[in-house]
Amino acid sequence: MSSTDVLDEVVGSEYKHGFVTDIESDILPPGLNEDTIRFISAQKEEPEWLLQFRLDAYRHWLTMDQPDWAKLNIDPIDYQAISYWAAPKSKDDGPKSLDEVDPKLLETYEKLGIPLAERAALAGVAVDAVFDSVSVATTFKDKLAKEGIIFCSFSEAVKDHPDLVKEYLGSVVPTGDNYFAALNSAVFSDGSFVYIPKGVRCPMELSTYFRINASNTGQFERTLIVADEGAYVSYLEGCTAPMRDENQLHAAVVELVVQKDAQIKYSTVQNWYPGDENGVGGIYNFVTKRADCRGDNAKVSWTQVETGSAITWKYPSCVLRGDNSVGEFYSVALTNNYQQADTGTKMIHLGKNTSSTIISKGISAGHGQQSYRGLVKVAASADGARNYSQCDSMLLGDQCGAHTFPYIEAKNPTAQVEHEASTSKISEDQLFYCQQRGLGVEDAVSMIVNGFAKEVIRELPMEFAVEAQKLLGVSLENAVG
Amino acid sequence: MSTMEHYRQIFADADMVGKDIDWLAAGREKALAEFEQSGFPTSRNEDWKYTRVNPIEKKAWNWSGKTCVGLDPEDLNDYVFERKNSHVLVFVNGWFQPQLSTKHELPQGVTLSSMAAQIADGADELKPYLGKIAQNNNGFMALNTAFSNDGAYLHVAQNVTLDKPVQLVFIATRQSDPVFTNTRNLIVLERGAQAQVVETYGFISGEPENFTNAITEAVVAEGARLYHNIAQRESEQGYHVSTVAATVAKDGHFEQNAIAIGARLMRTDINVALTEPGAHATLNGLYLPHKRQHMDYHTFIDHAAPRCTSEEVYRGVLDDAGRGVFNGKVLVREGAVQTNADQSNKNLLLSKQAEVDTKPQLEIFNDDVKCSHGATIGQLNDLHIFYLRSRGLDEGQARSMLTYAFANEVVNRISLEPLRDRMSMAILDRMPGGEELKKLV
Amino acid sequence: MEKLLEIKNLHAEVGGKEILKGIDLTVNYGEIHAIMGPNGSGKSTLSNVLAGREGYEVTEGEVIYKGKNLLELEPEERAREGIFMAFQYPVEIPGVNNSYFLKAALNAKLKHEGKPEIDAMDFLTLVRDRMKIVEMDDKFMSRGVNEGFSGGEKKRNEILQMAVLEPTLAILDETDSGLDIDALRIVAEGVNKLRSPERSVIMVTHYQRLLDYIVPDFVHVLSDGRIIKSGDKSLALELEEKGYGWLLGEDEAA
Repeated sequence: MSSTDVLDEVVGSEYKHGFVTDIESDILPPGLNEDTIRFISAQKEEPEWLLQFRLDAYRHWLTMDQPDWAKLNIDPIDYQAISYWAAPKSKDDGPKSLDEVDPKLLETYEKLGIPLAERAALAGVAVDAVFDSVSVATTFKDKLAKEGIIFCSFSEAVKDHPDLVKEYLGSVVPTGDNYFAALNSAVFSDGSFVYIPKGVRCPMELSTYFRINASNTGQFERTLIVADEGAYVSYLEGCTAPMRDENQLHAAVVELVVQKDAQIKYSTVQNWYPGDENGVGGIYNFVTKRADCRGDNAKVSWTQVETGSAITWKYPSCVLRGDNSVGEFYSVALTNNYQQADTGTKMIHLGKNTSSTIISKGISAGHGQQSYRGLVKVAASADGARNYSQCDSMLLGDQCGAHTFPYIEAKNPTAQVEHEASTSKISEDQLFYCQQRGLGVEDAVSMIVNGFAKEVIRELPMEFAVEAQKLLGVSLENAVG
Repeated sequence: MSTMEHYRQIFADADMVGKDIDWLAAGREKALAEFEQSGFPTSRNEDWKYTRVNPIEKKAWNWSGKTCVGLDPEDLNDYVFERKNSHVLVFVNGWFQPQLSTKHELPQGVTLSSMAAQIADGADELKPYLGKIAQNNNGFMALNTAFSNDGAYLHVAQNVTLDKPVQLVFIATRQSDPVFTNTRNLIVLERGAQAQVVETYGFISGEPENFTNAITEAVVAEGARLYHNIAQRESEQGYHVSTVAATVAKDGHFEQNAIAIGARLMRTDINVALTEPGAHATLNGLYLPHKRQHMDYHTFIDHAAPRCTSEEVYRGVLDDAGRGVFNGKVLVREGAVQTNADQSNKNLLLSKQAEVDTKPQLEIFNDDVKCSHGATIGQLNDLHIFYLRSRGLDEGQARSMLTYAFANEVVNRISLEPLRDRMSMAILDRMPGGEELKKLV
Repeated sequence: MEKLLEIKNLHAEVGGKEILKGIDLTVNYGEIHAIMGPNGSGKSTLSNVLAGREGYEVTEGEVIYKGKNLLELEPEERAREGIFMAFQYPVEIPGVNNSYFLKAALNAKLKHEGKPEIDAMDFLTLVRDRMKIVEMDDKFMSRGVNEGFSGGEKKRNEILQMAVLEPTLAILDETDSGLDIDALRIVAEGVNKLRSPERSVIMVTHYQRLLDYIVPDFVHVLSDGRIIKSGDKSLALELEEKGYGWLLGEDEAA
């Protein structure tokens, strides 16, 4: 078998999370107007100020155009053809405990490898599971509450901790920040809320698992994490969706608030349905993620492994406001078949002696197109700012593309910014070396790619690292032309 | 009168060279229409994000007919080196000045003339090239195409080497009306030909507030070698916008050094297309903005064929409230296999008000490539400073020596020795402590 | 004999960590002192403190050089007063031409001494003469400072600079490290040619082998930031034979 055939076989491996859960859902008919927003807000019994927040965002959104500057080919999106609300039907106002959760849902999460029953749950990981528009279960809530940690669905947070939500919502990503953030602010359904009080180190990993199930629906979740002074939390998110022929929209907003001496570690394994080998179907993943290091010595670290989605558009960013604050961005993105990814980060240095590190590894195979787009901005106030960026791309096959667009803006003479990028195909010498030692092509490719991505993978918590490595192997196996 | 009406008006009034030549007149008319359509670029355009051209846009620039200038060749000594050993074509406010120029005997098969003369004597020779290498990508280029009359034309026949360098010297003088010059140069090297060209932009008599809007088109045929240099030493009250567009054929070689010292606002685009296998481009550049100068280099290397190589070294030294922009794009097209492209951009920020924006870009559409770029912004190395001080140099001296060395990384790449020396001196004239260093070097 | 350098109870920190913990040392004109010691004992810190490198903070004690307080001088003032440190790791400075760099350094010193600057011809003659001492080729002068030099070439370049600048106090910081036997001989001969009653040398080294070529008047053993033993050249031989452990043990017993 030639290496190409092997690759085809490997790349041809199927999306493993593509099943559909047959569950009775309440779905709002497609369409978007102010009534839609009032409906969502009413469903969630939201306070007036939040409805107003949504309406303001919606009105702003109407004045905006979908950005076209990313290097993506996007079929026009009909925002009126999307349903903005889908929730599993439940008898009452929703499950009060796990026992009340529809067994089919629990089964869904079991299939995804995320047991929600606490006895079977992953040791040391608390999970919030979001199914279409709503959060269905959050584990270990009580245990966390003892530490004063709030970990719950966004809807619950609005009800139970309105002051916290009001204080921080939209304070990192304003409603009018960009087109998709505005849309999200108008129609967001659910998501996770985390608050770590002063000086508390969260004793376990917090995790949210997102699942799009219903067809023709968009998912617009909202995540807000606040680490108060001296707090620490490591947070993970994972995403999957069924295989469907049409494109589905996912437009999330994640806001991180990092106070003085606090640290947030945010990890993502994004494995939304990427579409089939001809580019039919798949998730449009347009996400705004931003961290605000508000106090001195704050630290935020984004780690992402992006293997899914037909189109990915996201730039997890760090605003380094506090002196000595630190921002990190570690990313592996893999595009295969007709996937497109335009991803990167923004590091905004405002405080003194702020530092940032960017490590981006792009792997492009098939007809995949991938861009790193990043901004490093050093304001005049950021004395002693440091940045190091490294963006490497590996190409597998002669139909794919890899592009690098770093923007570097420096206004301070004591800043040091260093950017390096390289693009090359997978090394034939390395492949041959592995083969000569008896490895099959697919194993060799997988091994070399994993080695290429290692700097990023090792930033992930252990359970995720293993999953990420497997994902890379599966998504990549046909990469050598 | 609106901006567009103004240019339409002077277009109608101008006594253009070759106005009876249909294809030329039609090209100008079309370009003016394009300009009217696009106007001057705005910062909404991604390519102009960091460079605002409002100061140029705000002024009603006038077309200058041929003017008489009372200059002697010696007045140009700052800008011209070794007249005895090079061909010198001098242009003042856009027009060729034979009395200030020096043309030695040319080898068989070489044409070197002013564009205006060539249009008058043999415009058809220009037709296959003019506007074919440089498309009107923006309002400035369209404006140039509409208004260009003069410039230099160099044609070197197959396998001919032009041994003496060609110096094209463009001088601005102070005028009562603000004047724009739309210089258009064309360099054609046939198969296996070789030439060295230096474009120098300077000024005489006070600091004119001029606007140079230049385009150079260059054709490097199979196996030909063009060494192209630009010394931008305009008045610091003036504006300089220019584009160099080159195509390089099979195994051809295009090498360029661009040094920016003058102008209040400069924007230079360098577009090189490597169209056939084995073509090579080297682009070196240095920008030294100080005071309130703004300098923007946009380079674009288009790898359109297999086995092409490119190498790029750009350095910036930014002082006072100077601002520098570097945008270096490398495109590797589908099928352009075995591409090798390397780019480096380093910047030294010397002052609290200085700013640099750098954007190296790689766009790659096939897998058989080796491409890299690096960009840094920083300061002089503390250890280097200490080493020099431990040998008795004071800190200021150490700093100027290291800054000079940083800038010289580009200057040292200039293969034409007298030009290299000139540029070294010009840089030292600009640097704190440069006078003292001059005595040493 | 007249004192050139007097170090009294010198304490110094690097990055907040105390490295020198009370050094006392007197160097008279014309003497050669070897400072030996295991890795991390503070040898290079001492060299760098004397040369005035940033980040090496003196917390206590004093250093008197030619009767003046050395510690309040800038690095270049020390150099002009005749202190020369041959670096353990000579810095590569691309683009700064070896020749004009050295000329600038020499002129700075001459100016400091109230002498006229050297003209280009005399400088060339002087450098060519000194280059013979270290067996260096002319071509090195047109290259960047240490740029692309091999380890041995860098060390020879340090000695060449020393020969041109004719210091009063030369500090050789591990000049022998990384040298093969031929380079070591060339470097040592260079130093020996500069020996004079007006000039003193502090040689910092880990090994005794350099001392076979440059014979010291005194040998000091540095350990954990203090001089724990001083003697003549026979001390070095003893150290070579018994290793540092011998002395460290002895120190503990005492």
